[in-house]
Amino acid sequence: MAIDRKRIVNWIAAEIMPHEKSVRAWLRRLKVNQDEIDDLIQEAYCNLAGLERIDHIVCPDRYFFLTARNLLNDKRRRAKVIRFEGLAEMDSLDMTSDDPSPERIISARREWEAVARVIRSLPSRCRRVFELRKVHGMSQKLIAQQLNISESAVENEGVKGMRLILQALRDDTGAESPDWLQVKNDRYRNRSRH
Amino acid sequence: MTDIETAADIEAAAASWVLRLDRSPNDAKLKADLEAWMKDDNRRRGAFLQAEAAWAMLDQMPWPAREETLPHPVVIRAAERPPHRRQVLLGGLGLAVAAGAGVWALGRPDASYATVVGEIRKIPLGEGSVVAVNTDSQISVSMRSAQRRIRLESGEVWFQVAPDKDRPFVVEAGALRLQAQATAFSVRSLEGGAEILVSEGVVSASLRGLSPVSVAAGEKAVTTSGVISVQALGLEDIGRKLAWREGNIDLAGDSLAYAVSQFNRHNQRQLVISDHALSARKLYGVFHANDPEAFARAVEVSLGAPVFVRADHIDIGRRSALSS
Repeated sequence: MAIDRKRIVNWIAAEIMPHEKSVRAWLRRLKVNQDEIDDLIQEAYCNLAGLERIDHIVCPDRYFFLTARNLLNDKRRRAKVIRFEGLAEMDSLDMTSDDPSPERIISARREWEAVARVIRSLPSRCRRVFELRKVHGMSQKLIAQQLNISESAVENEGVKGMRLILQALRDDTGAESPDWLQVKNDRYRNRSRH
Repeated sequence: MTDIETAADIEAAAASWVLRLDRSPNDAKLKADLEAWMKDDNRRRGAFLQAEAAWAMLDQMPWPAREETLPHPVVIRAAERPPHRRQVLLGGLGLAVAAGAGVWALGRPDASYATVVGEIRKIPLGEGSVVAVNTDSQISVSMRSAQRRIRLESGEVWFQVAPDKDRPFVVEAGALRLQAQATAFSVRSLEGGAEILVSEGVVSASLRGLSPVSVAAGEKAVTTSGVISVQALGLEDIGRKLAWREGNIDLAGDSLAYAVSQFNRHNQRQLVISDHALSARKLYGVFHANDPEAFARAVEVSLGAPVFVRADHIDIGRRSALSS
């Protein structure tokens, strides 16, 4: 149903996407190569797309991690490749705990800032398309009339901007994610020794 | 072919799908094509959800400030009048963090939207008009080919109405019926009536069985016991009263009692005035509607009134914590 779909999409935007960079950073620490990470993330989103309901998911970030971890496990099992260091790291990430974890403080706001930076840097016509569509709620058709360009041009500007926005959401060159991951893994490692 | 498709290729295609669906939200063939595309590879289904979520995130986030004026019809109209700070506030709407308004909402003829206390939502209606829904409010929207009709069930809403001479924009609140064309105005449901604030254009207001009354920009109309009374407030005052659209409460010589009533609409944590001699004291400043404590601290300083901050409420004017 369209309404449920919309709820899930909004939930993904608010609760899952902000943690994508952390999951990517974690996978990189497990020595997963970049192409494989990209594939795993898309597959993880595919699993999320299959959710019928979301109200039972109390910690979306953990859920996202768990989904990626399971996919990775499956993949490695199938490939019959066992990497000792990778498994050790994975065990140290105790996803069943209910403790508040450091990544929960990473808010959607940080992602918004990254997206706002992209929007600010868009070429003016492209940016205008986004503003008219998203701030003013105009349809693409109306925007085409307003800017005196074809509807296909509006669509193309939209695709162009969206690709840059998606790139900003996945680009994990920022320093903060590895930091907290370090903290997190150390914390879990310490606790598991007790 | 699919074997060599990289995650980046898929991402680009997913972005394109989102924009195509946004362009033609009711195109069944397009939806079928999308489903066929996704069926071949799980990564595609994932990437499409990701792109959709990024698109939805653009509705949730505050927008970066604009440098240039938008070519929006209403802004062009506004330029015909003496320039006024308040009239350019349109863009600030983006600050109202809204989780609604998505790709899928646009094609539906009927929808209703509700906000909880403290929530402000911006909902694009898809034809250029925008609705901002204030705290603790509820509306139902019915966009038909002959008429655009919105019913205010409770609370307060503000509309920026896009011109469409073939489709009147009608707002109903109790017995009150408003008709507008290329205007900006708010309606608040009150006990036994309603309050209308017009910031641009002219709104035609009528009560059941009475001839319509025009309410123009800068005017406020109140309906009580079957009468519509119109009062000139000025655009400055109207703009201040609409500061909630950006999550603010804008005071310019308003009484503490008024300010407290405004904050209490937006917060579970209520402000209480214990010393009624303070109620009529005048206040100035722009405050975040969701931060009653910061406001109380400002009152403490500017009025020299004692303030006690509790978990569930904030007391203004109580002389001693023991006197309760």
